[in-house]
Amino acid sequence: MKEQEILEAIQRGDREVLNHLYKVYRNDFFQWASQRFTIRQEEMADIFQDAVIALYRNIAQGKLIELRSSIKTYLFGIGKNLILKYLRDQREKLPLEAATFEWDLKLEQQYVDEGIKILLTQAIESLGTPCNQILLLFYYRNFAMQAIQAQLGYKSEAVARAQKKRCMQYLRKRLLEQHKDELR
Amino acid sequence: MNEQDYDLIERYFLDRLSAEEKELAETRVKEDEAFAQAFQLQKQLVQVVDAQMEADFKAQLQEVEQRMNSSENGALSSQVRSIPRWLYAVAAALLVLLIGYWLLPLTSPEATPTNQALFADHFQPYRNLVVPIQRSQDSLSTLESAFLSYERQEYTQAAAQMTMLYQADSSQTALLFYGGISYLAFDQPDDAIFLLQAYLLEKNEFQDEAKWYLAWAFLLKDKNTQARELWEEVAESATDQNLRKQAKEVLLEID
Repeated sequence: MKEQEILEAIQRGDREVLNHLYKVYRNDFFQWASQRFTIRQEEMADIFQDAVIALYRNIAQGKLIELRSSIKTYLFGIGKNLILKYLRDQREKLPLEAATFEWDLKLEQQYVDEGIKILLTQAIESLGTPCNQILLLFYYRNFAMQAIQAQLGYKSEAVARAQKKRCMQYLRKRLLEQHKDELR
Repeated sequence: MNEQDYDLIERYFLDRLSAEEKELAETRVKEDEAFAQAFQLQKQLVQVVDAQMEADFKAQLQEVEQRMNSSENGALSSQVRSIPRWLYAVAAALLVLLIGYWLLPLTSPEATPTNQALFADHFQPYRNLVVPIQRSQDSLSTLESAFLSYERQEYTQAAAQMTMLYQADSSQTALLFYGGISYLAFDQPDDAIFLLQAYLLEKNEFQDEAKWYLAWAFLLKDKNTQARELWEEVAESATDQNLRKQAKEVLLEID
């Protein structure tokens, strides 16, 4: 697969490209990383997966439109940063007893937010198809309604738009119901 | 809150607002509680969608890693990472020389006689459609040499050469297909299964054909159910009508 083809495949939402990128560059990345850092293969694999996903996201969301250097250079650049972050985190990890727990407002807010996210995840899942597909295409991939129409086979853009609107209404309703259940 | 408000919030997070609209949205977050709540929810929706998609991708890649990792530890793999490349090449050359002298059984000792017979009756290696070889050529590339072995029915050599070449350049997925068939031809169904499954991980040119051969490899392992499933897929949806027909015939013959 040529680099331009890879770029185009990601832009049109082809998920198989992830496997292709992983298989083509994995061994080189492992070799390159193990020569430079002291890191186990499991961690290298985990990091390289994240690097491939990050590259995919940047292209899918239109943050990377054209390649100024090779895909390999991008991938290894992202991978290198992730390894450095991982090693830094390892160094800074404090033993549990030394960590101090401060119950402040910020922390409390974090718990509330996490709770809402769990509810949201459940609500999206409960919508089923096509709503969850529409929301994923619209919010993750930043797809225009026209592209969503084409991808999901709606007759017109207006139909797709109306469907998305209904999905959002269902989602809000579902969240409201969940919220009431929580309060009960 | 009305639909226009929701639309404004949505476009805020998609970065599709003018400077004025953006300012308006930010002011309303400060002044209107219902708007602020909806705003917060939308922000979280985007984060949740992101997390969900990426968890999906992660699972997909973990599966690929698992396959690649187990193949490295399996029969096919050589200890790629710790051995220098030149040593690897020497080992490969020796391997190719050695296996030239092997006398190999024609059918798998593991398979039942019925399955062995069926395999012997039907198995035909796929023709070389990817690397045309002119016999008069003086010098052959390693790729051509591998396919020449294949055409000469020297499958042990072909399998080893193709595996090596694929490890050096994994964009050449056809090597998995022809390598898998080569292993099958000299009765190494485990290795054939590994290569053909790897080939089928992605959408490739010989998708249906790979399923057809993978089914044979399963049959040689007496895994009739898996073989049957694959042939049923081929019989139902292969592009090549002839292949469909062949799959249907085999399906009638297996237990």
